[in-house]
Amino acid sequence: MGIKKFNIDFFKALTPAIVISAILIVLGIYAILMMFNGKGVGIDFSGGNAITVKFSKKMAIDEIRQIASKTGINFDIAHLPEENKAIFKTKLVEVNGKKVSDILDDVLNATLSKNGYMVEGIVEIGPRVSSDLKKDATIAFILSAIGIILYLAWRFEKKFGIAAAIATYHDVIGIVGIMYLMGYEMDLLILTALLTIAGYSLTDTVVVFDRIRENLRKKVSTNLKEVLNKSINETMNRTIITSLTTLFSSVALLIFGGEVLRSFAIAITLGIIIGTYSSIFIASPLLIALKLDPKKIKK
Amino acid sequence: MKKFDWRFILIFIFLLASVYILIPTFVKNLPKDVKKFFLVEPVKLGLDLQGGIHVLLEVDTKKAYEADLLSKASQIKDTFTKKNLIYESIKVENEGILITTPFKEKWNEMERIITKELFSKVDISRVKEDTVSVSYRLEFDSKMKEQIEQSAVKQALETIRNRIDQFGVAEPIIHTQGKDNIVVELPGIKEPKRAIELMGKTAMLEFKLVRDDVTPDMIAKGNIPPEVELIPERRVNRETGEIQQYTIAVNKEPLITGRLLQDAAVRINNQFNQPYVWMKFNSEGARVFERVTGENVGKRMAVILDGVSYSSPVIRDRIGGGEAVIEGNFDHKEASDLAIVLRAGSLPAPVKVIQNITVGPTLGMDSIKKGFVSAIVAFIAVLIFMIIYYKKAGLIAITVLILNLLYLLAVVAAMRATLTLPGIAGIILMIGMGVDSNVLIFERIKEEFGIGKTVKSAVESGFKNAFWTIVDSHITTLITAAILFQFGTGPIKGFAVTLTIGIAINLFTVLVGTKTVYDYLIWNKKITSLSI
Repeated sequence: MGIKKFNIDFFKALTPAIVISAILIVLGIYAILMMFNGKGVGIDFSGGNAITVKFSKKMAIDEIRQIASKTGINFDIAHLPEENKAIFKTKLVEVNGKKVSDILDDVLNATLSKNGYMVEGIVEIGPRVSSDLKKDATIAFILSAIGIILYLAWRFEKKFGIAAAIATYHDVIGIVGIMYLMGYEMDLLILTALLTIAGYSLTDTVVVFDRIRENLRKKVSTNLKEVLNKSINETMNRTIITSLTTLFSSVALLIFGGEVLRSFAIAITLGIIIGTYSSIFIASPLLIALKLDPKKIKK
Repeated sequence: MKKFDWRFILIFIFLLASVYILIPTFVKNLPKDVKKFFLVEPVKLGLDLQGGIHVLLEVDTKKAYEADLLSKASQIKDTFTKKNLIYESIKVENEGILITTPFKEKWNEMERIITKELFSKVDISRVKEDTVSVSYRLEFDSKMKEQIEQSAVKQALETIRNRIDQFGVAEPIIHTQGKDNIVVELPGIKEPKRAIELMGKTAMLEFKLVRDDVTPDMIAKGNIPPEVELIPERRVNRETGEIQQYTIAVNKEPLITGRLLQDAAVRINNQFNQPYVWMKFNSEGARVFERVTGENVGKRMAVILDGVSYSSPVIRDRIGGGEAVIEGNFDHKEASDLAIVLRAGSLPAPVKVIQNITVGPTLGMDSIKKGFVSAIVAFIAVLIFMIIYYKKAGLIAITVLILNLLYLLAVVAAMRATLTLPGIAGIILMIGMGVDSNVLIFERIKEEFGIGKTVKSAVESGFKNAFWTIVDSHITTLITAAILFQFGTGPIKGFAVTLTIGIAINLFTVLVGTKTVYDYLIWNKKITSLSI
């Protein structure tokens, strides 16, 4: 295939991009504030139980709900009919000193007998563990931002570092917002996806920034906007191809990876789309907004 | 130019080494004589993949310190009684000991005994004085408190390890975490619930004298002597097997405790075909047991485990030989678990399960299968795309990608790093992301070629220009991976390890691998056109 030369003026799309990003960020910040108030977080961060049960015969969701109601616990039930499984979730750890998993086990045993079901997995998180995890996650995010800014400030220039960090966290915050709207609860797996996206989106931004720096050194134009546009266009082929191949992976995971990895795969897929978008439409204009001085570029 | 390149040899040696390392992982059921040639074991799978339990236990260190203070208090009581020093009360309160005495003039003597004869580092302060009595509060060095708490955690760890060993689990991982937590990981365990119960049982065994002189009427009125406590007793109806709860009054002070036990085992009662637990004291314990049973013939003795009496038979005669039993409608598993905890000893303080992740073996197998299918699909999609888009160059990128994945798995196996489910997800993503560095180089070469450079100089400057971009983007990703490693637990840590190794290997395969192939083509094949 021949070389496609792009020549698009990305600054024409600046206004819609600002609107889209503003919505993403507001949504994301709203979701994060809700999470610190305990809404939209999974048991990793709130404490509680997630119990996976495999039934030996097909069960209707109503049947499962009816059995669950006998426990007296208001379970949130995810039914996986094609695998004959159900995941019972609750924010409770104990009821009257009895473990939630034991209560459910007793009720299942009484209604289905020992051969009718199997408890495949239990995740039980006590309140102290979940609050520790919350603290660690917050620290991890702040530290990665600082680490990224410092490295890029050293390799490029301070403003490149700040712009890259803002563009990256724009993606992360945006995905948190979308996942929240879609009803996915924040847990360790989604958090891992977010940090993976941060790495991916950063790579995208660094590639564009690298070209901007090179073009600034070559003094291809005195107009900063022109330099930025040229750099984005020159790296466009690579941006699209890598996004595509990475999408192949994340979509394969989404379709074939199963229920456990679904939220991870969705977050990554969203991340590839938003990360590509932000490195094109957001990261470079940020350099102008931050008043980048081309003379300060290191030789 | 040289005909052969050392870099080819290096890549080839790495490839051979990777295949050698990975054979035990991919070829199951190797014959024994073949297996011994492979020094590296199969890739270690995380608990989320092979099944098992990950339990975080919290040791109630406060209780351990309280127990220590209680024994100090009784030490003071004993000494005072021996020396005829009269006190009103000596009790443990708020992490200190409170002594109240009506004889104020005797306090100097008491204080001398406490500070000179009994304990070295103790703070004493007067907390209350009225016309009848005076109260003093004893507080001990905070370092000592820390020491006691630490040793309680250590002792709990040893006891739990002992129990798990006797229960029979292959490759358990047991270690402390933070100040008062213990992590227990048991891969591939069949009965997770039973194992967790076994770990968490305090297993405090006590023999106490039953106070039949305390009547139900007195109990109802709450009028019981200060040295007596009420505890539940479970009695089993032999005909129906029903368990009933009663309340009995016993002396607080035990006659003897499980500390002096030497052995415990399951026995079967021939008459009822019921398992029960047989116990044997060590020689010191046997002596004490003989003395206390001899002193209390005709009275009843309760066998108490973790505050619940299992039986309270009448002592018919002095019992020599130091043997005793616990009965109570146990099934065989219950009885054998009880024997294990009695043999392994009691926990110095109660422990609480604060995190429990149980993964059944089928769930893990399922995840591996699904991960494998996703990986194959992703790989084929990337393969087709790269070859259509980049032609022969695409083939180079795919070869490099295969090397990448092989090296990655081999390093994971050789380092004994744990492969977790998020780790597998990371590898699948790497199939897509891994070609990025090659894409960067190819696009750069195309650009250089497009502005009229020769093949050779287009390749040279393509590599040169892409080099720092690749390094920068890898290092920034490495920063996030390192932070994930620092703050992640279990599966997440596994993901961070896979990611870190993957990034390092990707750098190597691209900067050495791809470059070598191009150098070879240009110098040896003298190609003049690019298939890119």
